[in-house]
Amino acid sequence: MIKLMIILIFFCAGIVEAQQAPLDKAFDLYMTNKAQKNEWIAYEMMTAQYFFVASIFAKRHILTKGEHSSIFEEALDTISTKAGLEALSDLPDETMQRTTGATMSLVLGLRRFNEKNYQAAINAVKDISPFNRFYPEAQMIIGPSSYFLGLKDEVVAQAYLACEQSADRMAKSASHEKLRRYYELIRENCLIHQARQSYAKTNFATSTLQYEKIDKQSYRWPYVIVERAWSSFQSKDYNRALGLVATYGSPLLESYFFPEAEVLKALSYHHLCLYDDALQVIDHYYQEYKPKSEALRKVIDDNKNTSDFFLNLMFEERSEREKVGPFVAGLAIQIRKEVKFNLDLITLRRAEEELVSVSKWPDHPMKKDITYEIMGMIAHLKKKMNFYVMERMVNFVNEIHRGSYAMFNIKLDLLSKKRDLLYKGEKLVADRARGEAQNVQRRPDQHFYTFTGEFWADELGDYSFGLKSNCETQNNRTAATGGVQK
Amino acid sequence: MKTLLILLLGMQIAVAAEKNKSPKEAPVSYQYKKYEHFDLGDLEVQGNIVAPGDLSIKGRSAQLIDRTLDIRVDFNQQMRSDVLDLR
Repeated sequence: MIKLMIILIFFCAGIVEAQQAPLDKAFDLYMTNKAQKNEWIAYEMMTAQYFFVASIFAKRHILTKGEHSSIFEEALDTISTKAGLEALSDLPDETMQRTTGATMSLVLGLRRFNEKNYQAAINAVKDISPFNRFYPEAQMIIGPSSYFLGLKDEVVAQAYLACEQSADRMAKSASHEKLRRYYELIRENCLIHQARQSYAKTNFATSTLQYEKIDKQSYRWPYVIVERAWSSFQSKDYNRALGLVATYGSPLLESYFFPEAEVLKALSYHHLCLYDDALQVIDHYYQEYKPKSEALRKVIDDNKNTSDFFLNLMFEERSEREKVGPFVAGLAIQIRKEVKFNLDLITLRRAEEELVSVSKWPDHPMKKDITYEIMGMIAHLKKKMNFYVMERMVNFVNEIHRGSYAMFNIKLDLLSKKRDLLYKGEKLVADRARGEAQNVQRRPDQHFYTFTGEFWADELGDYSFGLKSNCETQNNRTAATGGVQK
Repeated sequence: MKTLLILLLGMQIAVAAEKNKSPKEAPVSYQYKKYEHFDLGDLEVQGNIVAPGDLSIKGRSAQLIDRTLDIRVDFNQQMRSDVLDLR
Protein backbone atom coordinates (compact mmCIF):
# COMPACT_ATOMS: atom_id res chain seq x y z
CA MET A 1 0.00 0.00 0.00
CA ILE A 2 2.78 2.40 1.02
CA LYS A 3 4.69 1.43 -2.11
CA LEU A 4 1.68 2.24 -4.21
CA MET A 5 1.29 5.63 -2.57
CA ILE A 6 4.97 6.42 -3.11
CA ILE A 7 4.65 5.45 -6.79
CA LEU A 8 1.55 7.63 -7.08
CA ILE A 9 3.28 10.60 -5.46
CA PHE A 10 6.24 10.22 -7.82
CA PHE A 11 3.89 9.90 -10.76
CA CYS A 12 2.04 13.09 -9.84
CA ALA A 13 5.30 14.87 -9.20
CA GLY A 14 6.43 13.72 -12.64
CA ILE A 15 3.34 15.21 -14.26
CA VAL A 16 3.78 18.51 -12.43
CA GLU A 17 7.42 18.63 -13.47
CA ALA A 18 6.54 17.67 -17.04
CA GLN A 19 4.18 20.62 -17.13
CA GLN A 20 6.46 23.01 -15.28
CA ALA A 21 9.49 22.79 -17.59
CA PRO A 22 7.62 23.69 -20.82
CA LEU A 23 5.79 26.42 -18.91
CA ASP A 24 9.08 28.01 -17.84
CA LYS A 25 10.28 27.83 -21.44
CA ALA A 26 7.05 29.39 -22.65
CA PHE A 27 7.36 32.22 -20.10
CA ASP A 28 10.90 32.93 -21.32
CA LEU A 29 9.87 32.83 -24.98
CA TYR A 30 6.94 35.14 -24.30
CA MET A 31 9.29 37.84 -23.10
CA THR A 32 11.54 37.62 -26.20
CA ASN A 33 11.02 39.28 -29.59
CA LYS A 34 11.82 36.22 -31.70
CA ALA A 35 9.80 35.93 -34.89
CA GLN A 36 8.91 32.27 -34.30
CA LYS A 37 8.07 32.68 -30.62
CA ASN A 38 4.30 32.07 -31.02
CA GLU A 39 4.88 28.78 -32.85
CA TRP A 40 7.37 27.62 -30.23
CA ILE A 41 5.13 28.61 -27.33
CA ALA A 42 2.32 26.64 -28.99
CA TYR A 43 4.57 23.54 -29.08
CA GLU A 44 5.60 24.03 -25.44
CA MET A 45 1.99 24.44 -24.33
CA MET A 46 0.97 21.31 -26.22
CA THR A 47 3.70 19.37 -24.44
CA ALA A 48 2.36 20.67 -21.14
CA GLN A 49 -1.19 19.63 -22.14
CA TYR A 50 -2.52 23.20 -22.26
CA PHE A 51 -4.32 22.86 -25.57
CA PHE A 52 -6.45 26.01 -25.39
CA VAL A 53 -3.38 28.08 -24.57
CA ALA A 54 -1.60 26.33 -27.46
CA SER A 55 -4.50 27.20 -29.79
CA ILE A 56 -4.18 30.89 -28.91
CA PHE A 57 -0.48 30.98 -29.82
CA ALA A 58 -1.01 28.79 -32.90
CA LYS A 59 -3.56 31.30 -34.19
CA ARG A 60 -1.19 34.17 -33.46
CA HIS A 61 1.48 32.34 -35.42
CA ILE A 62 -0.87 31.80 -38.38
CA LEU A 63 -1.89 35.46 -38.28
CA THR A 64 1.69 36.68 -38.33
CA LYS A 65 3.20 34.15 -40.74
CA GLY A 66 0.24 33.04 -42.81
CA GLU A 67 1.70 29.63 -43.60
CA HIS A 68 3.05 26.68 -41.67
CA SER A 69 5.17 23.55 -41.87
CA SER A 70 4.01 19.95 -41.77
CA ILE A 71 5.11 19.75 -38.11
CA PHE A 72 2.94 22.74 -37.33
CA GLU A 73 0.06 21.09 -39.21
CA GLU A 74 0.42 18.01 -37.01
CA ALA A 75 0.31 20.28 -33.97
CA LEU A 76 -2.86 21.93 -35.27
CA ASP A 77 -4.39 18.52 -35.77
CA THR A 78 -3.76 17.65 -32.12
CA ILE A 79 -4.98 21.04 -30.91
CA SER A 80 -8.22 20.72 -32.89
CA THR A 81 -8.77 17.25 -31.43
CA LYS A 82 -8.31 18.37 -27.86
CA ALA A 83 -9.66 21.93 -27.97
CA GLY A 84 -12.16 21.51 -30.81
CA LEU A 85 -12.24 23.09 -34.26
CA GLU A 86 -14.08 26.02 -32.71
CA ALA A 87 -10.85 27.14 -31.07
CA LEU A 88 -9.32 27.66 -34.52
CA SER A 89 -12.35 28.77 -36.49
CA ASP A 90 -12.36 32.50 -35.78
CA LEU A 91 -9.48 33.39 -38.10
CA PRO A 92 -10.22 35.91 -40.87
CA ASP A 93 -10.93 34.75 -44.42
CA GLU A 94 -7.74 36.04 -46.01
CA THR A 95 -5.61 34.19 -43.46
CA MET A 96 -7.57 30.99 -43.89
CA GLN A 97 -7.19 31.07 -47.66
CA ARG A 98 -3.41 31.15 -47.34
CA THR A 99 -3.25 28.00 -45.20
CA THR A 100 -2.89 24.56 -46.74
CA GLY A 101 -3.22 22.00 -43.91
CA ALA A 102 -6.18 19.64 -43.49
CA THR A 103 -7.40 21.22 -40.24
CA MET A 104 -7.71 24.72 -41.64
CA SER A 105 -9.00 23.38 -44.97
CA LEU A 106 -11.87 21.71 -43.13
CA VAL A 107 -12.66 24.86 -41.15
CA LEU A 108 -12.64 26.87 -44.39
CA GLY A 109 -14.74 24.25 -46.20
CA LEU A 110 -17.39 24.35 -43.47
CA ARG A 111 -17.39 28.14 -43.59
CA ARG A 112 -17.91 28.16 -47.37
CA PHE A 113 -20.61 25.49 -47.11
CA ASN A 114 -22.42 27.63 -44.55
CA GLU A 115 -22.26 30.55 -47.00
CA LYS A 116 -23.78 28.27 -49.71
CA ASN A 117 -20.65 28.81 -51.77
CA TYR A 118 -20.51 25.12 -52.63
CA GLN A 119 -17.80 25.20 -55.30
CA ALA A 120 -15.47 27.04 -52.91
CA ALA A 121 -16.34 24.50 -50.21
CA ILE A 122 -15.32 21.64 -52.53
CA ASN A 123 -12.12 23.44 -53.51
CA ALA A 124 -11.22 23.98 -49.86
CA VAL A 125 -11.43 20.32 -48.83
CA LYS A 126 -10.78 18.32 -52.02
CA ASP A 127 -7.05 17.94 -51.32
CA ILE A 128 -7.46 16.39 -47.89
CA SER A 129 -5.68 13.06 -48.01
CA PRO A 130 -7.66 9.79 -47.68
CA PHE A 131 -5.31 8.92 -44.81
CA ASN A 132 -6.18 12.06 -42.88
CA ARG A 133 -8.69 11.73 -40.07
CA PHE A 134 -10.74 14.59 -41.56
CA TYR A 135 -11.19 12.76 -44.86
CA PRO A 136 -14.72 11.38 -44.11
CA GLU A 137 -15.87 14.86 -43.09
CA ALA A 138 -14.34 16.36 -46.24
CA GLN A 139 -16.26 13.84 -48.35
CA MET A 140 -19.40 14.64 -46.39
CA ILE A 141 -18.96 18.27 -47.48
CA ILE A 142 -18.16 17.35 -51.09
CA GLY A 143 -21.21 15.04 -51.43
CA PRO A 144 -24.01 17.55 -50.72
CA SER A 145 -22.04 20.42 -52.30
CA SER A 146 -21.80 18.48 -55.58
CA TYR A 147 -25.49 17.63 -55.32
CA PHE A 148 -26.52 21.26 -54.73
CA LEU A 149 -24.34 22.34 -57.63
CA GLY A 150 -26.15 19.83 -59.85
CA LEU A 151 -23.00 17.89 -60.75
CA LYS A 152 -23.28 14.46 -62.35
CA ASP A 153 -24.81 11.66 -60.28
CA GLU A 154 -21.57 9.65 -60.52
CA VAL A 155 -19.57 12.49 -58.95
CA VAL A 156 -22.02 12.77 -56.07
CA ALA A 157 -22.19 8.99 -55.58
CA GLN A 158 -18.39 8.74 -55.60
CA ALA A 159 -18.08 11.29 -52.78
CA TYR A 160 -20.67 9.48 -50.66
CA LEU A 161 -19.08 6.11 -51.29
CA ALA A 162 -15.71 7.50 -50.21
CA CYS A 163 -17.41 9.01 -47.15
CA GLU A 164 -19.09 5.72 -46.20
CA GLN A 165 -16.01 3.58 -46.68
CA SER A 166 -13.54 5.90 -44.96
CA ALA A 167 -15.88 6.57 -42.02
CA ASP A 168 -16.46 2.84 -41.63
CA ARG A 169 -12.71 2.16 -41.68
CA MET A 170 -12.02 4.87 -39.11
CA ALA A 171 -14.90 3.75 -36.88
CA LYS A 172 -13.43 0.25 -36.78
CA SER A 173 -9.97 1.53 -35.87
CA ALA A 174 -11.18 4.20 -33.41
CA SER A 175 -9.29 4.30 -30.14
CA HIS A 176 -12.36 4.91 -27.98
CA GLU A 177 -16.13 4.55 -28.06
CA LYS A 178 -17.02 8.22 -28.58
CA LEU A 179 -14.74 8.48 -31.58
CA ARG A 180 -16.22 5.28 -33.02
CA ARG A 181 -19.71 6.69 -32.62
CA TYR A 182 -18.63 9.92 -34.27
CA TYR A 183 -17.38 8.17 -37.42
CA GLU A 184 -20.41 5.90 -37.39
CA LEU A 185 -22.59 9.02 -37.40
CA ILE A 186 -20.74 10.39 -40.43
CA ARG A 187 -21.23 7.08 -42.25
CA GLU A 188 -24.95 7.09 -41.47
CA ASN A 189 -25.30 10.71 -42.53
CA CYS A 190 -23.80 9.83 -45.91
CA LEU A 191 -26.28 6.95 -46.29
CA ILE A 192 -29.21 9.17 -45.32
CA HIS A 193 -28.11 11.86 -47.78
CA GLN A 194 -28.24 9.33 -50.60
CA ALA A 195 -31.73 8.25 -49.54
CA ARG A 196 -32.84 11.90 -49.47
CA GLN A 197 -31.41 12.56 -52.90
CA SER A 198 -33.20 9.50 -54.31
CA TYR A 199 -36.37 10.88 -52.75
CA ALA A 200 -35.88 14.31 -54.34
CA LYS A 201 -35.40 12.56 -57.71
CA THR A 202 -38.67 10.67 -57.08
CA ASN A 203 -36.89 7.28 -56.87
CA PHE A 204 -38.97 6.40 -53.84
CA ALA A 205 -38.39 2.64 -53.85
CA THR A 206 -34.62 3.17 -53.87
CA SER A 207 -34.96 5.81 -51.21
CA THR A 208 -36.87 3.41 -48.92
CA LEU A 209 -34.20 0.72 -49.32
CA GLN A 210 -31.45 3.24 -48.54
CA TYR A 211 -33.26 4.46 -45.42
CA GLU A 212 -33.61 0.88 -44.24
CA LYS A 213 -29.81 0.58 -44.07
CA ILE A 214 -29.84 2.72 -40.94
CA ASP A 215 -29.59 0.51 -37.90
CA LYS A 216 -32.34 0.68 -35.29
CA GLN A 217 -29.70 1.19 -32.60
CA SER A 218 -28.49 4.34 -34.33
CA TYR A 219 -28.99 7.77 -32.81
CA ARG A 220 -30.23 8.90 -36.23
CA TRP A 221 -32.89 6.21 -36.55
CA PRO A 222 -35.83 7.98 -34.80
CA TYR A 223 -35.32 10.98 -37.10
CA VAL A 224 -35.31 8.80 -40.20
CA ILE A 225 -38.72 7.20 -39.54
CA VAL A 226 -40.67 10.25 -40.65
CA GLU A 227 -38.55 10.52 -43.82
CA ARG A 228 -39.13 6.85 -44.59
CA ALA A 229 -42.83 7.46 -44.05
CA TRP A 230 -42.73 10.24 -46.65
CA SER A 231 -41.07 7.85 -49.04
CA SER A 232 -43.86 5.30 -48.50
CA PHE A 233 -46.46 8.03 -48.87
CA GLN A 234 -45.00 9.09 -52.20
CA SER A 235 -45.02 5.43 -53.28
CA LYS A 236 -48.78 5.53 -52.53
CA ASP A 237 -48.32 3.03 -49.71
CA TYR A 238 -50.35 5.13 -47.28
CA ASN A 239 -50.82 2.24 -44.87
CA ARG A 240 -47.05 1.89 -44.49
CA ALA A 241 -46.73 5.65 -43.97
CA LEU A 242 -49.35 5.49 -41.22
CA GLY A 243 -47.64 2.50 -39.64
CA LEU A 244 -44.26 4.20 -39.63
CA VAL A 245 -45.46 7.37 -37.95
CA ALA A 246 -47.39 5.23 -35.45
CA THR A 247 -43.94 4.11 -34.25
CA TYR A 248 -43.62 7.45 -32.45
CA GLY A 249 -46.41 6.21 -30.18
CA SER A 250 -44.03 3.65 -28.71
CA PRO A 251 -42.92 4.35 -25.12
CA LEU A 252 -39.31 3.99 -26.27
CA LEU A 253 -39.69 7.06 -28.47
CA GLU A 254 -41.80 9.17 -26.14
CA SER A 255 -39.29 12.06 -26.13
CA TYR A 256 -39.46 12.30 -29.93
CA PHE A 257 -42.32 14.32 -31.31
CA PHE A 258 -42.48 15.55 -34.85
CA PRO A 259 -45.33 17.84 -35.90
CA GLU A 260 -44.52 16.80 -39.47
CA ALA A 261 -45.45 13.21 -38.60
CA GLU A 262 -48.94 14.38 -37.64
CA VAL A 263 -49.30 16.25 -40.94
CA LEU A 264 -48.23 13.12 -42.79
CA LYS A 265 -50.76 11.06 -40.84
CA ALA A 266 -53.59 13.44 -41.80
CA LEU A 267 -52.43 13.42 -45.43
CA SER A 268 -52.35 9.61 -45.52
CA TYR A 269 -55.91 9.38 -44.20
CA HIS A 270 -56.86 12.08 -46.70
CA HIS A 271 -55.42 10.05 -49.58
CA LEU A 272 -57.21 6.94 -48.34
CA CYS A 273 -60.42 9.05 -48.37
CA LEU A 274 -60.90 8.40 -44.67
CA TYR A 275 -62.02 11.96 -44.18
CA ASP A 276 -63.34 11.66 -40.66
CA ASP A 277 -60.11 10.06 -39.47
CA ALA A 278 -58.11 12.85 -41.11
CA LEU A 279 -60.31 15.49 -39.49
CA GLN A 280 -59.84 13.79 -36.15
CA VAL A 281 -56.05 13.96 -36.53
CA ILE A 282 -56.28 17.64 -37.46
CA ASP A 283 -58.53 18.50 -34.52
CA HIS A 284 -56.24 16.62 -32.17
CA TYR A 285 -53.25 18.50 -33.59
CA TYR A 286 -54.83 21.87 -32.85
CA GLN A 287 -55.93 20.81 -29.38
CA GLU A 288 -52.59 19.26 -28.49
CA TYR A 289 -50.01 21.51 -30.09
CA LYS A 290 -51.54 25.00 -30.12
CA PRO A 291 -51.63 25.65 -26.35
CA LYS A 292 -48.31 23.92 -25.84
CA SER A 293 -46.56 25.83 -28.61
CA GLU A 294 -47.88 29.10 -27.18
CA ALA A 295 -46.57 28.17 -23.73
CA LEU A 296 -43.17 27.19 -25.16
CA ARG A 297 -42.99 30.40 -27.13
CA LYS A 298 -43.62 32.36 -23.95
CA VAL A 299 -40.72 30.55 -22.27
CA ILE A 300 -38.50 31.46 -25.23
CA ASP A 301 -39.63 35.10 -25.31
CA ASP A 302 -39.14 35.53 -21.57
CA ASN A 303 -35.58 34.21 -21.66
CA LYS A 304 -34.27 35.02 -25.12
CA ASN A 305 -32.00 37.80 -23.88
CA THR A 306 -30.35 35.76 -21.15
CA SER A 307 -26.88 34.36 -21.79
CA ASP A 308 -27.22 30.93 -20.18
CA PHE A 309 -30.86 30.05 -19.40
CA PHE A 310 -31.27 27.50 -22.20
CA LEU A 311 -27.86 25.97 -21.65
CA ASN A 312 -28.51 25.53 -17.93
CA LEU A 313 -31.81 23.82 -18.75
CA MET A 314 -29.84 20.97 -20.28
CA PHE A 315 -28.34 20.11 -16.91
CA GLU A 316 -31.55 20.31 -14.87
CA GLU A 317 -33.43 17.26 -13.62
CA ARG A 318 -36.23 16.08 -15.89
CA SER A 319 -38.89 17.10 -13.36
CA GLU A 320 -37.45 20.64 -13.26
CA ARG A 321 -37.41 20.88 -17.06
CA GLU A 322 -41.04 19.80 -17.22
CA LYS A 323 -41.96 22.65 -14.91
CA VAL A 324 -40.38 25.18 -17.28
CA GLY A 325 -42.70 24.44 -20.16
CA PRO A 326 -44.18 21.85 -22.48
CA PHE A 327 -41.86 19.90 -24.77
CA VAL A 328 -38.83 21.27 -22.90
CA ALA A 329 -37.95 17.96 -21.26
CA GLY A 330 -38.28 15.98 -24.50
CA LEU A 331 -36.34 18.54 -26.52
CA ALA A 332 -33.61 18.58 -23.88
CA ILE A 333 -33.28 14.77 -24.13
CA GLN A 334 -32.97 15.01 -27.92
CA ILE A 335 -30.39 17.81 -27.78
CA ARG A 336 -28.32 16.04 -25.11
CA LYS A 337 -27.98 13.07 -27.47
CA GLU A 338 -26.70 15.20 -30.35
CA VAL A 339 -23.05 14.87 -31.28
CA LYS A 340 -22.58 18.58 -31.86
CA PHE A 341 -23.88 19.47 -28.42
CA ASN A 342 -21.74 16.79 -26.78
CA LEU A 343 -18.59 17.87 -28.61
CA ASP A 344 -19.19 21.48 -27.58
CA LEU A 345 -19.87 20.40 -24.01
CA ILE A 346 -16.62 18.44 -23.83
CA THR A 347 -14.77 21.47 -25.23
CA LEU A 348 -16.42 23.75 -22.68
CA ARG A 349 -15.50 21.50 -19.76
CA ARG A 350 -11.91 21.19 -20.95
CA ALA A 351 -11.62 24.96 -21.34
CA GLU A 352 -12.99 25.50 -17.83
CA GLU A 353 -10.54 22.97 -16.40
CA GLU A 354 -7.68 24.60 -18.26
CA LEU A 355 -8.66 28.01 -16.93
CA VAL A 356 -8.48 26.64 -13.39
CA SER A 357 -4.99 25.23 -14.11
CA VAL A 358 -3.84 28.53 -15.65
CA SER A 359 -5.07 30.43 -12.59
CA LYS A 360 -2.55 28.42 -10.54
CA TRP A 361 0.41 29.58 -12.64
CA PRO A 362 2.87 31.95 -10.97
CA ASP A 363 2.32 35.61 -11.82
CA HIS A 364 3.60 36.49 -15.27
CA PRO A 365 2.47 38.83 -18.11
CA MET A 366 1.68 35.74 -20.20
CA LYS A 367 -0.68 34.43 -17.50
CA LYS A 368 -2.66 37.67 -17.52
CA ASP A 369 -2.79 37.72 -21.32
CA ILE A 370 -3.91 34.07 -21.59
CA THR A 371 -6.43 34.21 -18.74
CA TYR A 372 -8.43 36.92 -20.52
CA GLU A 373 -8.26 34.99 -23.80
CA ILE A 374 -9.50 31.72 -22.29
CA MET A 375 -12.24 33.50 -20.36
CA GLY A 376 -13.34 35.02 -23.65
CA MET A 377 -13.32 31.60 -25.32
CA ILE A 378 -15.42 30.09 -22.53
CA ALA A 379 -17.92 32.96 -22.64
CA HIS A 380 -18.20 32.64 -26.42
CA LEU A 381 -18.68 28.87 -26.24
CA LYS A 382 -21.38 29.17 -23.56
CA LYS A 383 -23.19 31.82 -25.56
CA LYS A 384 -22.99 29.70 -28.68
CA MET A 385 -24.34 26.60 -26.92
CA ASN A 386 -27.10 28.62 -25.27
CA PHE A 387 -28.08 30.00 -28.66
CA TYR A 388 -27.99 26.52 -30.20
CA VAL A 389 -30.48 25.17 -27.65
CA MET A 390 -32.72 28.21 -28.03
CA GLU A 391 -32.56 27.92 -31.81
CA ARG A 392 -33.68 24.28 -31.61
CA MET A 393 -36.66 25.31 -29.50
CA VAL A 394 -37.56 28.19 -31.85
CA ASN A 395 -37.31 25.83 -34.82
CA PHE A 396 -39.64 23.43 -33.06
CA VAL A 397 -42.24 26.16 -32.46
CA ASN A 398 -41.91 27.23 -36.11
CA GLU A 399 -42.37 23.63 -37.19
CA ILE A 400 -45.62 23.47 -35.21
CA HIS A 401 -46.81 26.64 -36.94
CA ARG A 402 -45.90 25.27 -40.37
CA GLY A 403 -47.81 22.12 -39.44
CA SER A 404 -50.83 24.22 -38.46
CA TYR A 405 -50.81 25.87 -41.86
CA ALA A 406 -50.53 22.52 -43.63
CA MET A 407 -53.33 21.08 -41.49
CA PHE A 408 -55.52 24.07 -42.30
CA ASN A 409 -55.11 23.41 -46.02
CA ILE A 410 -55.86 19.72 -45.58
CA LYS A 411 -58.96 20.55 -43.57
CA LEU A 412 -60.21 22.95 -46.24
CA ASP A 413 -59.67 20.31 -48.87
CA LEU A 414 -61.46 17.66 -46.80
CA LEU A 415 -64.46 19.90 -46.18
CA SER A 416 -64.57 20.75 -49.88
CA LYS A 417 -64.52 17.06 -50.81
CA LYS A 418 -67.22 16.25 -48.30
CA ARG A 419 -69.36 19.11 -49.63
CA ASP A 420 -68.89 17.88 -53.22
CA LEU A 421 -70.05 14.41 -52.24
CA LEU A 422 -73.11 15.90 -50.62
CA TYR A 423 -73.98 18.10 -53.61
CA LYS A 424 -73.54 15.22 -56.03
CA GLY A 425 -75.71 13.00 -53.87
CA GLU A 426 -72.88 10.53 -53.46
CA LYS A 427 -71.29 8.92 -50.46
CA LEU A 428 -68.14 6.94 -49.86
CA VAL A 429 -68.40 3.15 -49.85
CA ALA A 430 -67.97 3.03 -46.09
CA ASP A 431 -67.71 5.57 -43.32
CA ARG A 432 -64.66 3.85 -41.89
CA ALA A 433 -62.63 1.09 -43.51
CA ARG A 434 -61.47 -1.67 -41.19
CA GLY A 435 -57.90 -2.90 -41.22
CA GLU A 436 -57.28 -6.15 -43.03
CA ALA A 437 -54.11 -8.04 -43.82
CA GLN A 438 -54.95 -8.10 -47.52
CA ASN A 439 -54.58 -4.33 -47.62
CA VAL A 440 -50.99 -4.45 -46.40
CA GLN A 441 -48.43 -4.03 -49.17
CA ARG A 442 -45.24 -5.88 -48.41
CA ARG A 443 -42.09 -7.06 -50.06
CA PRO A 444 -41.07 -10.74 -50.00
CA ASP A 445 -38.52 -10.00 -47.26
CA GLN A 446 -41.10 -8.41 -44.96
CA HIS A 447 -43.05 -10.51 -42.46
CA PHE A 448 -46.58 -10.03 -41.21
CA TYR A 449 -47.76 -10.16 -37.60
CA THR A 450 -50.94 -8.61 -36.24
CA PHE A 451 -50.57 -5.68 -33.88
CA THR A 452 -52.08 -6.37 -30.48
CA GLY A 453 -51.55 -2.98 -28.88
CA GLU A 454 -48.01 -3.72 -27.73
CA PHE A 455 -44.87 -2.17 -29.15
CA TRP A 456 -41.93 -4.54 -29.45
CA ALA A 457 -38.48 -3.04 -29.87
CA ASP A 458 -37.55 -5.32 -32.77
CA GLU A 459 -40.79 -4.47 -34.61
CA LEU A 460 -40.42 -0.70 -34.33
CA GLY A 461 -40.24 0.95 -37.71
CA ASP A 462 -41.80 -2.02 -39.51
CA TYR A 463 -45.46 -1.30 -38.86
CA SER A 464 -48.08 -0.94 -41.55
CA PHE A 465 -51.78 -0.26 -41.27
CA GLY A 466 -54.17 -2.46 -43.25
CA LEU A 467 -56.85 0.09 -44.12
CA LYS A 468 -58.82 -0.27 -47.33
CA SER A 469 -58.92 2.80 -49.50
CA ASN A 470 -62.30 4.43 -49.20
CA CYS A 471 -62.06 6.45 -52.37
CA GLU A 472 -64.78 4.59 -54.27
CA THR A 473 -68.12 6.36 -54.17
CA GLN A 474 -71.67 5.19 -54.54
CA ASN A 475 -74.60 7.26 -55.70
CA ASN A 476 -77.27 7.65 -53.06
CA ARG A 477 -80.17 7.96 -55.45
CA THR A 478 -79.29 5.01 -57.67
CA ALA A 479 -78.43 2.92 -54.60
CA ALA A 480 -81.97 3.42 -53.37
CA THR A 481 -83.32 1.78 -56.51
CA GLY A 482 -80.98 -1.12 -56.24
CA GLY A 483 -78.23 -0.05 -58.64
CA VAL A 484 -74.87 0.89 -57.28
CA GLN A 485 -72.57 3.11 -59.29
CA LYS A 486 -68.93 2.80 -58.49
CA MET B 1 -62.00 131.57 -52.60
CA LYS B 2 -60.71 128.61 -54.51
CA THR B 3 -60.35 126.65 -51.32
CA LEU B 4 -63.96 127.43 -50.39
CA LEU B 5 -65.11 126.23 -53.80
CA ILE B 6 -63.19 122.96 -53.50
CA LEU B 7 -64.62 122.36 -50.03
CA LEU B 8 -68.18 122.97 -51.22
CA LEU B 9 -67.66 120.66 -54.19
CA GLY B 10 -66.29 117.93 -51.91
CA MET B 11 -69.24 118.24 -49.56
CA GLN B 12 -71.68 117.99 -52.49
CA ILE B 13 -69.99 114.81 -53.80
CA ALA B 14 -70.08 113.23 -50.32
CA VAL B 15 -73.80 113.98 -49.91
CA ALA B 16 -74.50 112.52 -53.37
CA ALA B 17 -72.57 109.35 -52.59
CA GLU B 18 -74.53 108.91 -49.34
CA LYS B 19 -77.79 109.16 -51.23
CA ASN B 20 -76.71 106.53 -53.83
CA LYS B 21 -76.08 103.81 -51.19
CA SER B 22 -78.60 100.83 -51.43
CA PRO B 23 -80.98 100.29 -48.52
CA LYS B 24 -80.04 97.44 -46.04
CA GLU B 25 -81.68 94.09 -46.97
CA ALA B 26 -84.01 92.59 -44.44
CA PRO B 27 -82.88 89.05 -43.07
CA VAL B 28 -84.63 86.07 -44.72
CA SER B 29 -86.29 83.57 -42.42
CA TYR B 30 -87.20 80.06 -43.65
CA GLN B 31 -90.00 78.19 -42.12
CA TYR B 32 -90.46 74.42 -42.33
CA LYS B 33 -93.43 72.26 -41.67
CA LYS B 34 -93.37 71.10 -38.11
CA TYR B 35 -95.16 67.82 -38.89
CA GLU B 36 -95.56 65.87 -42.11
CA HIS B 37 -97.68 62.72 -42.38
CA PHE B 38 -97.15 59.95 -44.98
CA ASP B 39 -99.80 57.30 -45.28
CA LEU B 40 -97.85 54.34 -46.63
CA GLY B 41 -100.94 52.18 -46.84
CA ASP B 42 -102.45 54.68 -49.20
CA LEU B 43 -99.51 54.54 -51.64
CA GLU B 44 -100.05 52.67 -54.87
CA VAL B 45 -97.48 51.26 -57.31
CA GLN B 46 -98.59 50.91 -60.86
CA GLY B 47 -97.70 47.59 -62.55
CA ASN B 48 -98.55 43.89 -63.11
CA ILE B 49 -97.68 40.94 -60.87
CA VAL B 50 -95.81 38.36 -63.01
CA ALA B 51 -94.88 34.83 -61.77
CA PRO B 52 -91.66 33.31 -63.21
CA GLY B 53 -92.52 30.71 -65.78
CA ASP B 54 -89.01 29.23 -65.94
CA LEU B 55 -85.89 28.98 -63.76
CA SER B 56 -84.15 32.29 -64.03
CA ILE B 57 -80.82 31.22 -62.38
CA LYS B 58 -78.22 29.78 -64.70
CA GLY B 59 -76.55 26.55 -63.56
CA ARG B 60 -72.80 26.72 -62.80
CA SER B 61 -70.58 23.71 -62.89
CA ALA B 62 -68.68 22.99 -59.65
CA GLN B 63 -65.16 24.38 -59.64
CA LEU B 64 -62.51 22.06 -58.27
CA ILE B 65 -59.91 24.16 -56.54
CA ASP B 66 -56.51 22.56 -56.57
CA ARG B 67 -55.28 23.26 -53.08
CA THR B 68 -51.59 22.94 -52.50
CA LEU B 69 -51.21 20.34 -49.80
CA ASP B 70 -47.81 20.48 -48.15
CA ILE B 71 -46.25 17.34 -49.55
CA ARG B 72 -42.52 17.24 -49.03
CA VAL B 73 -40.43 17.39 -52.17
CA ASP B 74 -36.89 17.30 -50.76
CA PHE B 75 -34.77 17.27 -47.62
CA ASN B 76 -32.18 19.83 -48.72
CA GLN B 77 -32.37 21.88 -45.54
CA GLN B 78 -31.83 18.75 -43.45
CA MET B 79 -28.77 17.84 -45.52
CA ARG B 80 -27.29 21.26 -44.88
CA SER B 81 -27.96 20.98 -41.14
CA ASP B 82 -26.26 17.57 -41.02
CA VAL B 83 -23.04 19.08 -42.33
CA LEU B 84 -23.16 22.26 -40.27
CA ASP B 85 -24.13 20.49 -37.04
CA LEU B 86 -21.38 17.93 -37.32
CA ARG B 87 -19.01 20.09 -35.29
